[in-house]
Amino acid sequence: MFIIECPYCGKRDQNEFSYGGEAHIARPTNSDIQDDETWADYVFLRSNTKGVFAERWMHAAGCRKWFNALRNTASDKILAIYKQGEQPPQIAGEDLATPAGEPVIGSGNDATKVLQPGTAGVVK
Amino acid sequence: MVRLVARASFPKSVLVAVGQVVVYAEFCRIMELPGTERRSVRASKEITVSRTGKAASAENAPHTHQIRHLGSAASQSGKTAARRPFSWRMGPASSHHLVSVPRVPHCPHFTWVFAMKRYSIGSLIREGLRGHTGWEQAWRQVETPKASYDAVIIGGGGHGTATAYYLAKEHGMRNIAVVEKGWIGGGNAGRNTTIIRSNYLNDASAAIYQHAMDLWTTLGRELNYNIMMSHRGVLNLAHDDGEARALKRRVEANRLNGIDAAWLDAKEVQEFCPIVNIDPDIRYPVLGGTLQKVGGVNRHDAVVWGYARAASALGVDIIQNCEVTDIRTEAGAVVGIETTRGSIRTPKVASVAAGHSSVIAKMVDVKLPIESHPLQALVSEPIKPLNPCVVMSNAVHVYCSQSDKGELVIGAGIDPQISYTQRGGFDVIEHQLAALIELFPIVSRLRMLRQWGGIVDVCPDASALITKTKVKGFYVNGGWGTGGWKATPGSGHVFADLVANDEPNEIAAPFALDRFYSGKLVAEHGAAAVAH
Repeated sequence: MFIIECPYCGKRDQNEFSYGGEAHIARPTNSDIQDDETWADYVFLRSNTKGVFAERWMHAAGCRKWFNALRNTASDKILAIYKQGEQPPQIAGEDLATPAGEPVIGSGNDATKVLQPGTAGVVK
Repeated sequence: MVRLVARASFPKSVLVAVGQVVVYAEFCRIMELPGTERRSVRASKEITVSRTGKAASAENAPHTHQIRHLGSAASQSGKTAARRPFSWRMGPASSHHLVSVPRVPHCPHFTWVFAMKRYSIGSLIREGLRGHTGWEQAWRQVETPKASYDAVIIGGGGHGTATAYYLAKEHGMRNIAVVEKGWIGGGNAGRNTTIIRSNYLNDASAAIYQHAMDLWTTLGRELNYNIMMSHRGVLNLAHDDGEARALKRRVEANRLNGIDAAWLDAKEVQEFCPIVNIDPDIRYPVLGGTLQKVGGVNRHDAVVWGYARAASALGVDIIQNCEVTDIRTEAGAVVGIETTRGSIRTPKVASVAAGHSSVIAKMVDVKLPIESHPLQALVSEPIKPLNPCVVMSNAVHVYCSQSDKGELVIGAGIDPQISYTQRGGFDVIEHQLAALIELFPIVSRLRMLRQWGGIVDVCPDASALITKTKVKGFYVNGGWGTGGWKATPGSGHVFADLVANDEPNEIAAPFALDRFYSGKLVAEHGAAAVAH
């Protein structure tokens, strides 16, 4: 469970928020002339990023405003909060312990951590 | 008798061995008894043509599993006819043609490429007498992959090892490998609550889950590995009139598909599972429920190990601690993979990576309609047997069974956010325990022993993806969401068929990626007791 800092109300428990999924997905314009690929991409296909991910939250039990967050989905660390309509801020990436992006803490799969090239046998 | 034996001053090891034989025999009894019952609950008895259009002979007829669907595929011979698209539709049984898929024989005596000792009462007695010093490794340890394989399966869970086994056994592809970044069975295969059922609403889902159910009933014997399959029955409870109507509709739909299903009123629910609280004055009273008697639970790692052992015996390399870092393509076709244990050349890559499906697919620029969420489960301290079946409830949202060790195994809903951390919020398990003691007041003072999370890959229509992709030789089996375990053998079986033939069979076809472009979804959200 997260502590999320609403840009309007401050830090609150995750229970107060609704999740809105991936952010910055624009509805196709000229919808009458778009093909099935465009609609499938808009409606169903998602990046499902492992790593730094822009997502939407809504402070349902507070100000009921939508806003965006940058969170590392491999570690659940919230890296930045920004308002709707703004572009995601530039942030420095985190150190990851394996090629597929397992973080040092939080992946739950310790067996993978010793396999980073050059760190055999070392769990940070 | 034991005393007599003891007086005769037999070596202690003889007694130990005899005891183990008794225990083993009991396991066999538990495992095999339901298999005979299963024959009677199947509604369809017709002998049909096989998927490939060949007429079923008397010899293989008992090994065919029948799926009814409307269409003429079954009456036309030839692979292409049987594989063309068709529409699933409900209707009276007589209006259906039957299409069957090859059914795995009960006790196949296939030739194992690598001689492995079969597990049997004889081997148990022998090992009991010599202090268990002669057991060999269950599967071959392969530290370094070969330079090339005919196919590589990414992910050594239940579905991955099952895919490898059926590829080797039914399609003769023995120069293949399973690569697993951790240890086999350590992902969702080792984290689920092992509930087996097939009572799904839509015909396409019913077909694949019933296919899996038919394989489950004899899997222990087939793999020569005790998967501790227990057909103890699965209850789905209804707590309001709308839900009761939906569940009754599902019972009827199941029966039309030849799937074991029954509606029980509240009293019958309590007779089947005496610890359910059916007091009408609670917040969410139990109005009744559906029962699938053939449903149940089994042993998760035994399934993975059994598949791995059988696949390994057929020549499949199981490579653990081997993480795929990239997939190489040339001219839109797969040519190999990069791993932490070196490069492998292969024309076919089959991703069975569950929560990490999108990560693997991204290596070949394929975008999937999958979102990965944490799903938690927990077990209580072990107690004496009190829950004789599996109880599921969507309205109060918990599902619960009791393991052979006596722990209550409890699962519920996913965390809302996308995450790969294999851990979820405490509020989610707090909610599911509140639901648990609403249903079973008797366990209100039970302590929880441990809790864990897995990453489930959820599709927008809550149905799986078994699909080719735009990249030639790259196949995806994923999107099983919160309910993939029950499908393990069926999923592996039809996915192996897809990987071997590059075309889906009838059971797999509705689960292709193109359904998200055509709009022909297999919508199971809420329809089949799939709760997210």
